[in-house]
Amino acid sequence: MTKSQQRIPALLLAWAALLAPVAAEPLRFTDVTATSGIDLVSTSGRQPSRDILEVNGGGLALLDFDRDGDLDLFLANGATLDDPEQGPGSRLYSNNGDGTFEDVSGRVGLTLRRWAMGVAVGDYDGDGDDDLYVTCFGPNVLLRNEIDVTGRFVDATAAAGVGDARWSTSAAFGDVDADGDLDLYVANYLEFDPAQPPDRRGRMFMGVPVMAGPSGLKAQADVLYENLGGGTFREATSARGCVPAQPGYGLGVRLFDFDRDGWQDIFVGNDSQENFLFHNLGAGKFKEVGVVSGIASNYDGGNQATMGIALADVDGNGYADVFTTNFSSDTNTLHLKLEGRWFDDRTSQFGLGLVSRPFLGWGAGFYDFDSDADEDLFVANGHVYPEAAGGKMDTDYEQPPLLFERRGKRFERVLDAGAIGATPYSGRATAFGDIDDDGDVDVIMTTLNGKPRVFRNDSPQRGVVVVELRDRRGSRHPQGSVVELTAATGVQRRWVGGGSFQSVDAPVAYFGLGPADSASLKLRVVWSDGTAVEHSNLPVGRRLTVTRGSTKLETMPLGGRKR
Amino acid sequence: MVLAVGNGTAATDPVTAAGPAEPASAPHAPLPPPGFMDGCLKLIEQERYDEARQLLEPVVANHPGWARAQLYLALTYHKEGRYELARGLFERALAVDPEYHVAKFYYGWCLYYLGEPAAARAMFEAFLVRKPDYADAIFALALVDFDADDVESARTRLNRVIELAVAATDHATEAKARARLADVLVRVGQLAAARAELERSIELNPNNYETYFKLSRVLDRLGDGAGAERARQMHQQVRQRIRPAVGSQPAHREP
Repeated sequence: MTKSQQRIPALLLAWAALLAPVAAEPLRFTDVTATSGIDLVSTSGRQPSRDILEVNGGGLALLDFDRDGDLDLFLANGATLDDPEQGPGSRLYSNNGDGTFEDVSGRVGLTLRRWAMGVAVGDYDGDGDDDLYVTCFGPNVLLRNEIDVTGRFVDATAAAGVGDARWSTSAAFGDVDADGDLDLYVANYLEFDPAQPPDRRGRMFMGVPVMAGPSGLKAQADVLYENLGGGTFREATSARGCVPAQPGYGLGVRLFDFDRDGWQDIFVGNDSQENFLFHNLGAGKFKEVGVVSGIASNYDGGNQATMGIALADVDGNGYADVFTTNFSSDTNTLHLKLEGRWFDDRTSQFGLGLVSRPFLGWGAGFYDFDSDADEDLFVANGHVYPEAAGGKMDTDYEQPPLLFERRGKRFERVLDAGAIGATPYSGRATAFGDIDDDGDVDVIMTTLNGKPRVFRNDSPQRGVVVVELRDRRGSRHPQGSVVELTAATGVQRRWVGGGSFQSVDAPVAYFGLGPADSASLKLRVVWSDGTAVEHSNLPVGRRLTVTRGSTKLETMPLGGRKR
Repeated sequence: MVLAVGNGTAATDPVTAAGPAEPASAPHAPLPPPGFMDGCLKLIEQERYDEARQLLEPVVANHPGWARAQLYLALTYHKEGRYELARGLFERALAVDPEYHVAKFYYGWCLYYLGEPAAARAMFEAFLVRKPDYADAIFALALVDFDADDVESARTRLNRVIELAVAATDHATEAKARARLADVLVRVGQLAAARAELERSIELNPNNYETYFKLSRVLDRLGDGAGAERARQMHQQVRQRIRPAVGSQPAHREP
């Protein structure tokens, strides 16, 4: 419960209790950080933060870097303003197979000490394993995965030509020109000189002096890298038409086919400015359609401070709807994809509006945490202004995550789901995946200058189907693919690949099943180039693996990977 | 006197319409001179919140049982959009005088902006028991209904607000109600009707830049790309005239 909620008069609380749903809330999470083996206390400048460089925190990725079948964890770590190039270093943790982790950074040659922000995962060189692209304040870093050859990651930035030296936040791989290799989009934020931080004088929020930015600071343009094959890229932002009228304060990026025309589009969430939607007109030529499509802002044209992005087919019309997290005293926004090329702000229709006003949201994800055949929603929260402590800004500095359960047509906030409920954090990036191989979706959330929190999903589980995709050479991150599961209760869809804010989720489609859903299940995988494969009569409670170019469906029991 | 509150402008001022003029409990310090409270209200009206607070804080300290003083001090924060700071003062005003319906009205808006629609609804409904035809409170309930996806109730309430505003020749209230009615119509797919409401809303209040944006969205979906572009340009022009451009704002956007 937030401090503000604690001040609600008893009469109102009693009144609200009368209105509250009486059904038990089955969502249950346990904070297993202490026993997870993840010992990194992140660094992001000073505590409390005083400048804008210090407030975003580090991102994370769930990936299977060693191809042993479980989800490993990369944590991007920052530094301090007095030496942004020499922080304590980012970390790679190997999963022990049971959801506990071991720091293998030294063993695999991960020596990145620059102020890292976010991460993208993809097999850029097509050798079958997943590489890391780490966004930084300063030159970004491409780490080629040579685990199966030398046992190490190798810095391939210079050879690949992707060392953008600006302040980058989120990045995403995707095959925008459908030539079979992964291109790369990098969202950049703003110009900032640690030696001369912008003047705080006169900067106010809700009557309280605060740090400077982003408004008033110069935005830095994003960049699109085209993969040329052979491990090299070329900068193709203008050539491909990814040029908005003005650069934005980019914080989030997601590649997906918004209009289902078989081409990967690019959505960029911008801070305090209009979001961008680059419509892929074919063969990787883009046109910016954010404003015209309706996704650039909220329902009344207000530019929002978009941080995180989450995709789901909330209304079941087959298109990906786009949820964005925003600043406090504003709402998060659900941009519903309508027929045609239109998005419409339907935040309130689905119960995600006013409830989010006290919170400043970051990473988010739609997942069926209780495997009841609909997707729930998790949002990490935490304010950027330390001055928000004590309710002076209608919010608090540390804030609890928002957990919503899908109930009928609406999402309803779950106030007590074990470890997720009342406890406030300086939450930032999120990654979602089944880290303990029990078939349900766990949550890892980074915190500012703190340990990432590992929330193990202990919700009662029903029938599940878990679908993993493999590219032809074995890559686990087939960006931009869509997995559809048809059951008696309807069609569920998952957009695989990418993350929310500076993050990468597990590249896995998790499906929960309704009570009558176990018979006649059909699976359809639409790869990023629009080609599709179908399978029917699926087993329940199994992990299914679909490989691109193959009609074979591999199955294995859940929990079969525990050592 | 007219006080702009929340999303709209009150047709009449509920503050002066009712409420205890004297402390509910015996004062332990001299009461302020006659006209003092009216002066404070004028400062609030003139957006001179710090000055109003300086005057009101000692009064509230000396007369904690004076609900009206608590309310006025609450309004100095509420009108600045600092709702959490206003909340406690509204609560104290209502604790002193649980029947102080004017405080319920403003507290309702405060709760709405703090993201507590159920509690806000209770306040507005309680207020309307005393003032059943108060347009801004009906408007507020329409917004709460809309957030709850009760579009039919929202539509009914907004039509009632329009009825009241027309009768009172209150163009500002009618304009905002029509713009919100357009939201309802868009939600249920009645785009042509939404367009008509938005165009009428703009006639009534051409300074509401958000309405141009909403009109652009509807025109786009109706296939009138040129009209949508014109509406977008008007949105930008009016917004720049009414609000400072992005880049000159001090920090993160406030709603």
